[in-house]
Amino acid sequence: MTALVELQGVTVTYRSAVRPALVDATVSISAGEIVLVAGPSGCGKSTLLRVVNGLVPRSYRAEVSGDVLVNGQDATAVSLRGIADTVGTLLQNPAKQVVGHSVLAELAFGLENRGVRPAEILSRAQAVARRLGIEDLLESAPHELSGGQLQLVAFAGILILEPALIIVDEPLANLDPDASHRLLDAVREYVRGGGAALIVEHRVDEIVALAPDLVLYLDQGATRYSGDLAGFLAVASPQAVKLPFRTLVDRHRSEPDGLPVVPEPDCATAGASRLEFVDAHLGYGRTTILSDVTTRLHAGERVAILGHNGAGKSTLLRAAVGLVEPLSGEVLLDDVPVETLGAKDLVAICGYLFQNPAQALFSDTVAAELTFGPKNLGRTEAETLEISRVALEAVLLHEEPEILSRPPRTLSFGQQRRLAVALALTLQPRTLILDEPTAGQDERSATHFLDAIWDLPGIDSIYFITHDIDMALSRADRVLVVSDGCIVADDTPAAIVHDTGLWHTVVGGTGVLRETDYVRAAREHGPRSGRMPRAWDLARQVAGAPPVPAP
Amino acid sequence: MSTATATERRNRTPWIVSSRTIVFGAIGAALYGALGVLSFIIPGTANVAIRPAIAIIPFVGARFGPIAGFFTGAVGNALVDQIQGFGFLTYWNWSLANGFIGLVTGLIAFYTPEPKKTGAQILRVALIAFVAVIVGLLFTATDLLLGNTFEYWFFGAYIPAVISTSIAVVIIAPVLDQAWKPLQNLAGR
Amino acid sequence: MEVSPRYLAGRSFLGRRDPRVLIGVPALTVVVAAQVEDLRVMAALVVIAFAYYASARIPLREVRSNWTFVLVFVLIMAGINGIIVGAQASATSDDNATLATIPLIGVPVTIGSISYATNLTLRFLAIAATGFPLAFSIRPGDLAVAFARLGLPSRFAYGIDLTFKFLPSTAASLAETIAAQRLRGYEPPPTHNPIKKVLQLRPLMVPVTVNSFIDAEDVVDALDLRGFGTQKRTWLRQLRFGAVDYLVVGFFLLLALLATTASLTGRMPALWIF
Ligand SMILES: Nc1ncnc2c1ncn2[C@@H]1O[C@H](COP(=O)(O)OP(=O)(O)OP(=O)(O)O)[C@@H](O)[C@H]1O
Ligand SMILES: Nc1ncnc2c1ncn2[C@@H]1O[C@H](COP(=O)(O)OP(=O)(O)OP(=O)(O)O)[C@@H](O)[C@H]1O
Ligand SMILES: [Mg+2]
Ligand SMILES: [Mg+2]
Repeated sequence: MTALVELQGVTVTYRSAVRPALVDATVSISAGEIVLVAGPSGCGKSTLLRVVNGLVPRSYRAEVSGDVLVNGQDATAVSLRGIADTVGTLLQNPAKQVVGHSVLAELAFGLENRGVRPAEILSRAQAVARRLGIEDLLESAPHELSGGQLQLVAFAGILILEPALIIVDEPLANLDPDASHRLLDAVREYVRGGGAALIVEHRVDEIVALAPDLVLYLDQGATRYSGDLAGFLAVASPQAVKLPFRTLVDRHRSEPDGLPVVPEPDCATAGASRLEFVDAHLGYGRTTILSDVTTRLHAGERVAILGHNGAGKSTLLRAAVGLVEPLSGEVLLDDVPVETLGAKDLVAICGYLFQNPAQALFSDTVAAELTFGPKNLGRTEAETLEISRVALEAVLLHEEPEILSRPPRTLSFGQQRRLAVALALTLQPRTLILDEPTAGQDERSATHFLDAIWDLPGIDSIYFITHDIDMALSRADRVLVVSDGCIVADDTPAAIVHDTGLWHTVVGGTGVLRETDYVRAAREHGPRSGRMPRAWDLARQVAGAPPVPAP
Repeated sequence: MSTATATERRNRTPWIVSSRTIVFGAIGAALYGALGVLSFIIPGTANVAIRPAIAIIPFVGARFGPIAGFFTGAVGNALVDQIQGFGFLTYWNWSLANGFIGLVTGLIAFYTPEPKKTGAQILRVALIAFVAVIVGLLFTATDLLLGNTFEYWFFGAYIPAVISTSIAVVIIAPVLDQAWKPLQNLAGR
Repeated sequence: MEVSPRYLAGRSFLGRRDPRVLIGVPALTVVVAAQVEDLRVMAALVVIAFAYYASARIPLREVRSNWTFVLVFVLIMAGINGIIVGAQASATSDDNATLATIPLIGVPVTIGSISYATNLTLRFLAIAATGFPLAFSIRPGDLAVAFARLGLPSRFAYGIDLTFKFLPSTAASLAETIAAQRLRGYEPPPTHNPIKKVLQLRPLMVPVTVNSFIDAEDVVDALDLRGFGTQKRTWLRQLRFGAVDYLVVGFFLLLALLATTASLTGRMPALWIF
């Protein structure tokens, strides 16, 4: 049987780059197989996918050497459309690839382009929608969907073409663990039915359940490992990808790092009330998303907000800075109603980091971008320069050569994120609000980024939204869980872990949050109160403890 | 590699239509519609509105070609008419005139090489856009077919439109163009 | 200002028509109205146009502000045009009875200029009355198919669909950017200088525009990867041009033919040409 796609010694150098993005890559995929590609940010994962689906070199200008075979045929002679008949691709960001004005139109799009009869398009669309559980959404417009639904719709738009091989680039970024699970289930079903899949993902711990046949581990474009899953788990760096908790424990058992187990510092004691919701109902127009919110977030606290896609987490924190006006009730910042605060007072209390860092970048240079805020506040030239310098240093961007004269949008995504934090810092706020600060970043970048923010001088409190439960439990002093239109839990990480009613497993349970190995271990071995240790530290502790039978 | 020649070929004639042309045109039209909320009436006049979003049209024309520019102008303006309720046929000629602004910018830009100095680049885009506005809006002379007097069309419609449009276009189009320049290699593959 | 198209026709007579009818009728109305010069004929056309409008059953409260805007615009336009014509008439001919003189500018008001202004008002009302159903009685998703069926190359037709898809996301991104800039202390001081005012919009327009076009590259790839524009495409949405549709369009086509023949043969009655 010929492989669907085969790469032999493929090296890719983008036109505008000096260094190859992919070096000597070899991989072959046949029907019924799942291949996982993992590695840190910028290691060439997306580039590999682009070679397979033909975008490199057809859409991206790049030098490609080596052989690419599609269905046993040399791919250079095949058009993008020809490759697309065999290979279906879910690009890295679903919001960009959904092109229909409704979900049904989106599903129909590919088939329409192939000139399929309308009646057949409709029946196939309904079948695919049923398979992914999105029948109810067929008439919805894409901009009304939550992140998770959008991802499923984009996936359905590819699945309906019935490609022999399906490619998915980081499908889980922005998805809550349950939505991830649904999407991965669909992939599994599809491969069982005779398809094949090539998946890129940092969140290896969640992919493990798919039992990939082959794992490719890339670093700086080169293949560090190519082989079965077990071998990969043995060599992969826990800093580069998010490994399953059990693997971390095994790692500590086989090669202890010898570091002592340090107990986590206690939760910060709360100061004055910083952000207060009094009987607030939050929503858009006539729809209420969250009702009866009454809670107080204090100065000095690090608060994590957890909950499903579309639960209202962003809505809650957007109300804190007046981006969403309460339908009724009050939202107070430093005991003053938010809507009465002018922009200048508001920014002195709160900095807000949007999920998309580029949302606000408009200047020709980083220097001009940095001075925009302080100038708005009426600072003098000299003060402004000093503030900018300090802010840039705080996020470690000052080491970047020529940074001040670069156009902000030419920075890498991670750098843009750090710049966005620096921009918030130029306004010298006391609180930072972060909406999914680590989505789509690899472990190392995420950790560095958070460490930097957690240590910022002048910031006394941080309120953040995340889908990463481990991160929330180990970084926050307090966790809020949002579900079904209200706050269903509000407690210290330890109490949240031990509140078993909150959790559900793959198999069952009715809780809101999905239980991970880390959570189980934290319940078993973690402290009874306060913050939870980081996954790596908890694993060390577990490895030292007598073995526990698997649940 | 085969793509290199494909890109160069793309640049040799301004009339190529590819998926990019369509997507850029459609995005331009949507931007024109969505950013229309930023319009305001010139103080002291009754109804001469400045619609800064109109600068999107020459920007798209200059950067992405005459076809995309035409699409942005024509569909963008028609879209606004649809949303406001007149239907896109009531002022069909104004939609086409907006389209011609994009088309003319695209053509002139295609045949005038971009200078090296930033100042000159800004001047070039501003000038091209200004000329395109003057030429493109001439098409609204079709108002005469509907019974408007020449005087009304010229002094009551054309001249105010040229003034308000050029204020927006001459200021904003070069700004957008300069903002895009460092990014085109990044995105423009 | 509204930023998204509204569909208000429900299951009304026009709501059930093929979208090509709703495009064809206003187009033909423009052709007819442009040629009618007699006030009585124009009045008849207005009645027909409003009968057509009524059959869409667009709730008035939804479109009141739109109509107000149209009325103000049309009245100003017709009024000024009438004044110009009056001024010209007083200079060129004297067989027009002057009814009054507008104070301050001293322009005479004649029967001719009044009937001219009235005609212009009615003409635009007729066009607007057929235009409103075009705006509110076609589902946005149907426009692209209608255009494709009318002969527009399908790639461009799909471009229209894409525009409707991008509109809400662009509006959302603008809202987000406004919020983000406000949180950087952006609160532009009020000014009467239009140039300053335009410049103040830079922090909003630049990021929204640039982000949209950067994202565009991925959209292009997404289209290409699903075979966009490589062969003749079908449309899931099927349009059926029924007997009633033929009747409606046929009627307006007949009017257009009549008007054109009358103009060409010089038999179109003229009331206000001087
Ligand atoms: N269009 C391009 N032009 C030039 N260089 C590029 C281009 N796209 C990617 N690169 C570079 O190639 C390298 C590999 O990028 P790629 O997108 O494949 O990484 P990745 O592993 O998918 O990263 P991530 O996890 O962040 O998505 C990076 O150094 C990147 O900067
Ligand atoms: N501008 C808006 N207009 C109307 N509804 C909205 C708007 N923004 C969000 N919603 C709806 O409000 C609900 C909550 O949205 P929100 O963005 O707060 O969710 P979230 O918890 O942040 O989800 P995610 O994890 O996917 O980011 C969703 O059902 C969403 O569809
Ligand atoms: Mg990638
Ligand atoms: Mg959110």
